[in-house]
Amino acid sequence: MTDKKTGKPGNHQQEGITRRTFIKNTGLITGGLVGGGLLGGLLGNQLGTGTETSTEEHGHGATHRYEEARMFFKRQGDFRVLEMVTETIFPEDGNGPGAIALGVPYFIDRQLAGNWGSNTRDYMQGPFEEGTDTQGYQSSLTRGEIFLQGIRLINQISTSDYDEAFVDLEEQDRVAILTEFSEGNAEMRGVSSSRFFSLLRQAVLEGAYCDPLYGGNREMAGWRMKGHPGSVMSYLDVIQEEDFVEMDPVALKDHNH
Amino acid sequence: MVQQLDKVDVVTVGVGWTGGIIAAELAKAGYNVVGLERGAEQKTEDFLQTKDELRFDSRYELLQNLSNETVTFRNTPDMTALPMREYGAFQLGTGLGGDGVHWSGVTWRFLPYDFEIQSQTVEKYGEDKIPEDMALQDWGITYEELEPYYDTFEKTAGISGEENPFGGFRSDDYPTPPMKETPALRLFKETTTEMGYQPFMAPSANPSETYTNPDGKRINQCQYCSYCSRYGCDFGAKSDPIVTVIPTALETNNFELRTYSNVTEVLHEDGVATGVRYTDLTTGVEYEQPADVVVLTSYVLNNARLLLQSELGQPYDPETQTGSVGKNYCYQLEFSGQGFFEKQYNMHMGAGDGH
Repeated sequence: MTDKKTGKPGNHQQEGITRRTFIKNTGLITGGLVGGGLLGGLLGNQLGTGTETSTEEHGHGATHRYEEARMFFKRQGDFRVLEMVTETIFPEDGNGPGAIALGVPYFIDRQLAGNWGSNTRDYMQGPFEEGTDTQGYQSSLTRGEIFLQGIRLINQISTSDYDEAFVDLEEQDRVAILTEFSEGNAEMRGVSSSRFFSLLRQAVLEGAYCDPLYGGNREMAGWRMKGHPGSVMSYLDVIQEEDFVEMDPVALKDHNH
Repeated sequence: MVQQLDKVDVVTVGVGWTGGIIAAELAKAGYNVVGLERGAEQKTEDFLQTKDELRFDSRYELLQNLSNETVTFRNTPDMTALPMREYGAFQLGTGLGGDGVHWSGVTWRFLPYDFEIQSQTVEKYGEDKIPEDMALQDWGITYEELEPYYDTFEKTAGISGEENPFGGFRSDDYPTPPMKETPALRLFKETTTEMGYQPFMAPSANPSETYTNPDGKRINQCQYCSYCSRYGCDFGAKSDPIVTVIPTALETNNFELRTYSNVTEVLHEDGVATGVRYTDLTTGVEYEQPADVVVLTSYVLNNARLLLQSELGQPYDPETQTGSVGKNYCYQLEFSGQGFFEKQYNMHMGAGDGH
């Protein structure tokens, strides 16, 4: 393709290179379903003119998002599993982008690096006792610790039960593994796998629908899919409308001129 | 070393709705009132440009920080009480205005029956209707006695509503008309009316029109933005203590507000309260504030705990059913329904508890 022009070494010359192969070879990002501007940007950097198709396909400009790097996860492999997990829970489909294109994995990474992941506003002092179901969460583990343990266990189960890394599994197998977690059947230390899954699901939905200031809901695409207009100051004039009111979404940035 | 302060007429423990109402009414009547609030000062400006679901609805920024202090609980006396480590359905407020700042503004009056639930149940159904282990009793005050105060509160807060067909006597209408009806509400009303029910609009502290209360405090017209429960109102359009009773009290110059002041003990002699001990949370310095009247105006669990810590009153014993401190605690109960409809409604618009 363009290697002669760019002078870069490598084996990307062949026509019809798949996105998947590309992602694997670059070693920069993975998950198979990377969408949006990041892919465009990397393609632009690495493959020169190879960018057009991908950029058009996803309808975004080729932005290099410097704010998207890992704050919480140290191992890239763990983050790749997280990416695929979020995309499995919130896949790209006819309605619009999936979790990865919405920025959900980086949203979760940041949340885990902050107050939420460290449980700084929760009561985390001992003594710790298991308690009954009615007494709620009693583990000494922080959300960050639960995510790290859970994400690694997802990949371990994938490798042992399916002989493949989680990121390479077909969707039905990925869903089967996550279902085991959601039903509390995976053995985690100090916490139930259903608790981990409910945190995971919560974080994915938050990343898809939060204000874009947190790095999720990229370009407000999550809101657009639901017809949600974001943080509108007043609905006084339309509150009694019989039909659904289409509005362009408004984010907090729009209130902070 | 505990620092002794000059005596005042009245001290309130907590400055939310109850502390604010007492401060406003007594300060207007000429009494010196000190309000001790463990949390921070806050005002409407705090909520401008922050309509942020993640921050307030998911991360509960306006609620009590549980890392410092939480409650423990158990369902039966033989269980070990364990701490509430994170928020779920049960949510504790903090800060100036308390829960009143981030409430959803649903303001029912109790029914006359609620005040005399024991005697009216016996009258209608007989003694056998009440199981032996049910700690049911009359309040000791009746609806009729309380009605003028309900009326005063509704006028102070600019409550919007229409008459409850099942409610008690009203000396006056709600000060502002009921809120606007959404298509979903209209559908509910039509359907339930056809079924023979009498639906009516719930009373709401999100005024249906801009309102100035008898103290001259203005509450703006609700904008139906839906950022209500767990948020402060950025438009001053939700009646709360920080736009009504607290500024009313402060304007009299008879009310002194002290924030970051955490009361740890009610001082008393011969069973009569003489003041409080509190800690300035910013310096760690302890103070004793003597007062003729001490009013416990924090959340009911904190009030009960303070009485127990101070060894005032008789603790409730569930075995013998004696004592009254800590007896008959009840959290709010709410009921709601969800359904799937072919039609897409504007469910992101609304006010109060229902969107």
